[in-house]
Formats: sequence, C-alpha cells, structure tokens
Amino acid sequence: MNRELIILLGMLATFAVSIFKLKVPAGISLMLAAVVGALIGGEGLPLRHLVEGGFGFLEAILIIATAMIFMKVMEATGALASINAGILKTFYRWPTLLLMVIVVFVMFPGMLTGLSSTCILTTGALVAPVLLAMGMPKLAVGSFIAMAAIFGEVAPPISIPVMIIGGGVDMPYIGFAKPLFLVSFPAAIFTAVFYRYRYIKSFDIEQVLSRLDTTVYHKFGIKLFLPLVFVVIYLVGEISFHDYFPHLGVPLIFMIGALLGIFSGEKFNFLNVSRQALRNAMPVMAILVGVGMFLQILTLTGVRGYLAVKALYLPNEIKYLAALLMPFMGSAYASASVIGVPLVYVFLGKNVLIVTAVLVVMASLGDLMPPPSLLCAYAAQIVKEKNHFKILRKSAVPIAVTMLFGLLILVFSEEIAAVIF
Amino acid sequence: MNKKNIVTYSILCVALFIGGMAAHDFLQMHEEDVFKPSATLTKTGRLGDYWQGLKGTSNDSKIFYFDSGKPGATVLLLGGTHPNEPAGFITATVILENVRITKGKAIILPQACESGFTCTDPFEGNPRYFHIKTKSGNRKFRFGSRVANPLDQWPDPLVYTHYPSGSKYSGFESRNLNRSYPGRPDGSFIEQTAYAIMQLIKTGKVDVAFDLHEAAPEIPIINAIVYHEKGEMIALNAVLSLEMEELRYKPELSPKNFRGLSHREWGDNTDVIPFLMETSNPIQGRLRGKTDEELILKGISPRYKEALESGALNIEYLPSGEPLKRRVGRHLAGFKAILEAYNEEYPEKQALLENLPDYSDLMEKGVGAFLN
Amino acid sequence: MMRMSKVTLLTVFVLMLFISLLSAQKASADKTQKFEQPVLISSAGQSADVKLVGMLAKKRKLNATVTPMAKAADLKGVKTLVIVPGFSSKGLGAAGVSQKDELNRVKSLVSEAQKLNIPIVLVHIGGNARRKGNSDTFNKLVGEASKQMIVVAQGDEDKFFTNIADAKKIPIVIVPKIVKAAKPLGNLFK
Repeated sequence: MNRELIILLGMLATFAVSIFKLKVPAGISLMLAAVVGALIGGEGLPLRHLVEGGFGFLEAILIIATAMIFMKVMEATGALASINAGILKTFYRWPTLLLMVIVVFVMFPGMLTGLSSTCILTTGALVAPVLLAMGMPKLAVGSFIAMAAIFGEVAPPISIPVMIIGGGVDMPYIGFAKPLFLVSFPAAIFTAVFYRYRYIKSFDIEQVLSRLDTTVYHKFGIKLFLPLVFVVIYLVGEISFHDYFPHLGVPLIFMIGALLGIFSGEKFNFLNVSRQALRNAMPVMAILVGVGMFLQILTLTGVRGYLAVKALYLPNEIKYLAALLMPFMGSAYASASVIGVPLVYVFLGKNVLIVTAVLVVMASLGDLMPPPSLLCAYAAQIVKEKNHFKILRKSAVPIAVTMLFGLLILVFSEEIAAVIF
Repeated sequence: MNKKNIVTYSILCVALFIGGMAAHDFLQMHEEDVFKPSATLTKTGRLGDYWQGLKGTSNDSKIFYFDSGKPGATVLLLGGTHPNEPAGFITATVILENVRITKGKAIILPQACESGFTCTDPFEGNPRYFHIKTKSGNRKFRFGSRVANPLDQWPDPLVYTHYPSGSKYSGFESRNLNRSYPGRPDGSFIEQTAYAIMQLIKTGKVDVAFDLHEAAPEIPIINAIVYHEKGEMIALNAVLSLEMEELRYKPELSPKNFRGLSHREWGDNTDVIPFLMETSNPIQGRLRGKTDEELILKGISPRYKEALESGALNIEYLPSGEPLKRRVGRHLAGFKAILEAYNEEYPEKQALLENLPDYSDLMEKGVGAFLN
Repeated sequence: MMRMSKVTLLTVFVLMLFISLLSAQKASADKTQKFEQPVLISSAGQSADVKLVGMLAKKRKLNATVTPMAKAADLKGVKTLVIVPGFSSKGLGAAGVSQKDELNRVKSLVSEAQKLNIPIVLVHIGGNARRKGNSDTFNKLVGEASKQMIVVAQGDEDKFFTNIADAKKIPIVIVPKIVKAAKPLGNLFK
C-alpha cells in the first residue's frame, strides 16, 4: 500500500476511534489524528508544525470568539427578541415570503464577511427562536440556518473561498458578482420554499408572538439596534469605503459593537456574558485549531498532494465527480485551497469565473461535513441538539439540490457565460 | 487542590511547554542570513535609507552596492520578494558573491521582503531552512513565507484594496510586497516597504530592474520573462538568444489591469525598465508530496511526475526534477541575456557585470560552487 | 568479401541518402507554396509570440505589419494573413479582453480572410507552453483554416499540428527552434 494512503488511513482511524469510541471532543480528536499522522509519516513529534497549523485559523477563531460575544450581548440587551418579533409581525401572513426573507437575512453577514460561521452565530441564532416558535422542528431549524450560512459564505460581494482559489491561480477578485449570485441565490430560495412546505404547516401568530418578548423595543426604541447598525455599517464600510473607514479588522469591529451594547438596552454583566459566549464558542474554536494541525500534517507528509493528484487521474467522463467530492473535505477554505485550485485547471476551457463560483459552492458545503462539521455543531448548539450529525442528515435534500444546481451550472458554464456576461 | 484543578493546571503546563518549545523555534528565524559579498562591493545599506519609516523594522532589508566608477546603466536586482521562492534569493546571493562590475552600477537586495523570512506559511508544512554545501562549509539559508510576517502587519483586512488603483485582492495579499507597489509612506508596513523600493529606484536613478520569482509547476506563468511594454524588444531579443542556448522562456507582456506588481508599477511610475522572471518550484505547488528541505534543493516530486504523466494539467516540471541549481541557473541565464539585450539596445549606457556563472556551470557544479 | 560488402553497403547508403535528399528537396519545394505581400501578422490568444514572429519577419525584410488585435477591417489591402496562436492570460490582461472576446475576434478575422480569399499562414513558435488547455482552441481554429503551417517542433511532439496538416492536406514545415522559423517564413513569399 502507498505510504501516503497509510498515513491518511492512520489519521482517519485515530480520529474515528477518538471521537466515537473514546468520546473525546472533535477538536482534540483532530489534534490526536495530526500527531499520529506525523508519527506514521516519520516526522516524530513536529511541535513547530503542530503549533503553526494550530494557529493557521487564528483570525477565524478571533472572529468567532468576538462575534459570539457580540451576539450574546445582543441577546442580553433584548435586541434579538425585538428583531424576531419585527420580522414575524411584518411577514407572518405570507409564510413562503417570510422564509425567503429569513434565508436572505441569515445569509447577510456571510455575504459581507465571506465566513459562514458569522451567519450562524449572528443572524442564524437570531432567527432560530422565530422558526422554532413557528412550529418548525428543531433539527429542521438547525439545518435551515446552517444551509443559509453556506449560501451566505458563497454569495457576493465577498467570498473568501474565491479569493483563496484566486490566490492560487493568479486571478484577481473581479467579475465574480454574477456567477456567485447564480450559484447561491436560486439554491437558497429553493431551500426556503422547501422548508416552508415540508416543515411549516400552520401556526398561530398570536401564540408565537406571545412567546417572544416585544416590550424591550418600546422601552429603548431604535437605540437598541445601535450596535448592530454599527457592526454592519463598519463591515461594509471597511470593504467598500476603505478610504473613510480606518482598518480595524473584523474581531475589533465585533468587540466595539459588543461594548456599544452596554449602553443600548437592558442592563447585563458584560464579563459574565462574555464568559458564557466564549464557553459556547470553545468547541468550534478547538475544532479550528485541530483542523489547522490536521491540514498542516496532511501537507507535511505529502497526503495533500497525494489526494490532489489522485483527483486528476479521474477519467474525463467523471471529472465532474471530483467537483462533487469537494464538500467532503470538511472545510470550505481547506477544500478551496487543496482541491479547488487544481480543479480550476482541470476545467480549463470553460468559463473560469463560473467554474470557480461552482467550485466555491461545492467547497463551502464542506463547512457542514465531518470531521469538523463546523456549521452543524453550531446549529446544534443553537437549537440545543446534542448530536450535530442529525442536523447534517436533515440537510441532505438541500445539499443534494445545491450540488445538482452547481453541477448543471458547471456543465453548461459556457452557455451561461454567454448569457450573463 | 481538587482533581479538576490538577487536570486544568497540568494541561496548562503542557500547553506552556509546547508553546515555549515552538516559540524557541519561531524566534530562531529572526537570526539574519549571512552574505559574503565579492571583493568589488562598494558599500552596503538598508532599505530604511530610502524611507525612514522602515528603519529598525524587519523590512529594513540589506542592500549591496557595486559601483564600477565608470559611467553606465544602474541595474537593480531583487531576490526574496517572496521568501518561499528560494531561487530568486539564492540567484541574487550568487550574483552579489561573484560579480565583478566593469561598467555602470548594480544594486542588489537579496531579501527584498526580509520580514517574510522570519516565519513560514501555516498549513504549508514548509521547512524553515535549507543548507548548501560550499567551499567554506555548509551554509544555512532561511526559507520563509510568501508574505510579510503577521507580527509586522496584522490583522489582514477581509478584502485588500490596492492603493491607488482600487483593485481588490484577498486579505492575505495585503502583506504581499508584489501586490503593494507603488506603496505609500503613510500606508501599511508592506506599502511602506514598496514605497521605499520605489524611492530606491527613483533616487538611485535605476535604468533596468529585475524581480526574481518562482511559482508552482501548475501556474501558467512559469519559466517566463514578464516584461513591461517599455522593455518589449529587450525581452524578445533575450528570449531568442536564450533559445540559442537551449533555454526556453515564455515572453509575457505585463497586463495593465493587474495592479500592484513590480513589472507593472515600477514601469508605470518610474523611468526604469522592469523584468520579472519565474521558474518552476515544486515546493510551492499544491500537488507536491512530502514537504521537506530535499524538495527545495533537488526539486524531485514523484507526485508532479505523476500529474505530468496524467496529462490532466499543463505542468512545467521535468521528470528528472527541478533542482535549485537549475532554477538558479535559469534565473542567471535570463538575467544575463536581458542585460545583454539591454546593452545592445542602449550602447551609450551599458552595465557590464562579469564573472557570473552560466547555466551549464550551475548544472555541472551546483549552486554551492558559486557561494563563498 | 567482408571488405567488398562494406564498400557496397556504403555505396548503397550514400546513394540512398542522395536520393532521399533529392526527394526531400522536391517535396519541400512542392510544399513551399508562394504567398504575396503585404502581410498582416496577428495573434490568436494574445501570447507575446506574435511579437517574436514580427521580429523574424522584419529580419527577413518582409512587408509586414504586426497587429495582435487585428480585426476584419485591418485586412484591407493585405495579401497574406499570418496568425500566431497561443493563449496567454497575461497577454489577454494586457490587451484588456476576455478569452471569449478573443475567440470571437479570431473567428471573425479568419472568416473575413476566407471570404476575401486571403490565405492564412499559421506560425506556432511557443512550444509546449502554448499547447493544450486554452491554447489548443486557438491552435485548432487557426490550423484548420490555414494554407500553410510553420511549427517549432516542441509544440508538435504529440503530432497535433501534423495531424491537422495530414487531415486537411495542408503543407507543414517543422523547425527545431524559433530562430529557425525565420527562413521558411521568408521563403513563403515571392
């Protein structure tokens, strides 16, 4: 058997035994798998590489930590409840439209940050109680917000996975708005409609509203939303009007937003809320550290190259399958950089902007998949479900439909390019 | 102390130990590489001489000046714009350790983005050093990151907007020197670095400039000479003369809409005629197998061979490998051919750099034979 | 006996060589059709190879204009169209056009030339680097429309151009190097 294959199998087996048999948290299991991979690969215990990989997602970890604090603050001030009530009151008469509005609303932070976690941590967490109150089962709610987070990550104006692929093939981030819109919005709308008819029968608006606190808004008025407005304006401003908005970075923007929260609504203990937020975010942050180590060892030992080259050997007729395998990398960014870059070359001859957009939607689905199952883990936390794999299972239909959409766009990329460009 | 606390503190101690060990390794990378310039060295300087904002920072990069004392053209050579592309850095080192200048001036920055030499890129599993056997013993060189160390510029924006064009790149590129030209004095750390290099070109009245790079074997712009439209005839003549030596280079015209790169911004903003060269470097490639020092030096990647044979990609990779000596040899041959073509085009203002090894010398004797 | 046979062998060998050289001469004479000037040299794929071919033409003192982005209107007064195929993303960026725009331009240029009975000569000098992937779209398009091909050998290692030439009965000259393309290019013209 091939050396790289043995290393890969050793790493996967370690992960599986650790997580399923020994019930060790996913983050730690990934770290163990990385250590075992390095040992099998004859690298000994490469501390530098493990630490370097562990810090690879430092910025994402900081974004998650601060976004989580921000959201907990928003919850504590009563802003969340008010928005929930507002959305519901405005759109409850048209449940299909309501779900479409909700899906785009959840996508919004991801469209700006290019990070699916921000969707699920902010707007996703925001709408979950509304959906639950409307009678949507909790697994469906978890799956719905996780899917919306994926579409948010892909949708324009900002898509980090596109930039990752672009960095690999020397392609500037220009002209992606239409292709990204095409691969994300139709699938998002489909998901909204599907969940509407599949899971929401009829609901009593009064009963739903009675479960939500609507008094806070009357007490504090528009001031309640000041932190949210600041965060959205600054995130957009920093990207689109960089000359007027000094560069703070996403984590600092979220922290300032959280601090503004102290003065915007109900009183709360900032330290306690932050502690609670970080405790919630800890498993996902640990997963990111673990994934980082895992990726670093995959590269160090040559397994990454092995996987990428094997993908090339796929016969011509089934090279589309390689694109369909992208989600199974378990991380949008990893998938974009490891398989996305070579696949752009595999599909040379087709419209590169559309091909990249499709590869990105495929890669982004990776955020749902094990080993880290990042979005599912978050969604599970939000809807208080212990087994996050159940959320993944619940998402099978929208995942399949999204991949099918992507595949069709890939096959007909030239025809589509002729129409949209 | 209860059991839970003992566990907590033990974990903390282990983490501190691991952190300490790793920190020791990372700190080592701040030790500077040693250069042994040729006897014709006139003076040394630092990038901070051209913009005070860089003084004392990790991009206060070393500059080597060679002045023949005779009028002629001034040549600028940058290696190490991307510290994970060692052929550029080592070619500049070979030149500054051997050159004998008989006409004009040469200014050499072997590590243009020295900050990037103080760290490696996460997830890439790259080695920190590579060793080359020379007459004076085994010499150690750093292998760094494509971009500046985040300790010098952080955090990255989500989207990097190039100044002044407004072109957008991924946030990571905000630390990439070769996306930051022409730079600005009040800009980011790396924009200031770019600004200092532009100042060097302007105040040093540089006539012809080189930026030496490498790229992954699957990148289309490889084994190439990228030229600004000002240098078209020089580049094309060089390509033809290199072909006579059995060395093929793709001539590539610098795109006007790809902003922030040396071959575009140097040419547009100063009088210099810029050239950028690329060789095929397997350790940068995404298809590479095991990542280690040997891959830098020998450039043998069975995975790339396999990918080449699959025919699925257009790959520039020799089945026998892309060793450092070949990559340095190509850069040297390209540098000399372009300079010759320049001298032919501007006979009244020539730069003559002698005692530089040929491609065949490198292939025969290896890089170490040409390092002091 | 041994000696005798060696001499015979040598004689036969020299004779064969002579004959084959003669026939080769004849074949290449047959192959080398004559084209008229002025010549328009254009690119298909915007690689800088077109400029190199321009330099070769200048060396052979041809009455040639290099217009990488030539359009149908540029064919006015032109007697021969030389197209240098080869894709370059940097080149397209330099010209500020998309791959699709470029393909459409080349298609319309080729069809206009055919309409006006202006013969097309393909000159491919980029070797491996301008083959496969995006380049072959242009290589095939121009190759099939051409009346004559001059190709640097490295670009025809898989017989891509030779196969087109055989199928369409187009004369083809394979040269070992870019500089060696100058002579056959010059010889095409009266």
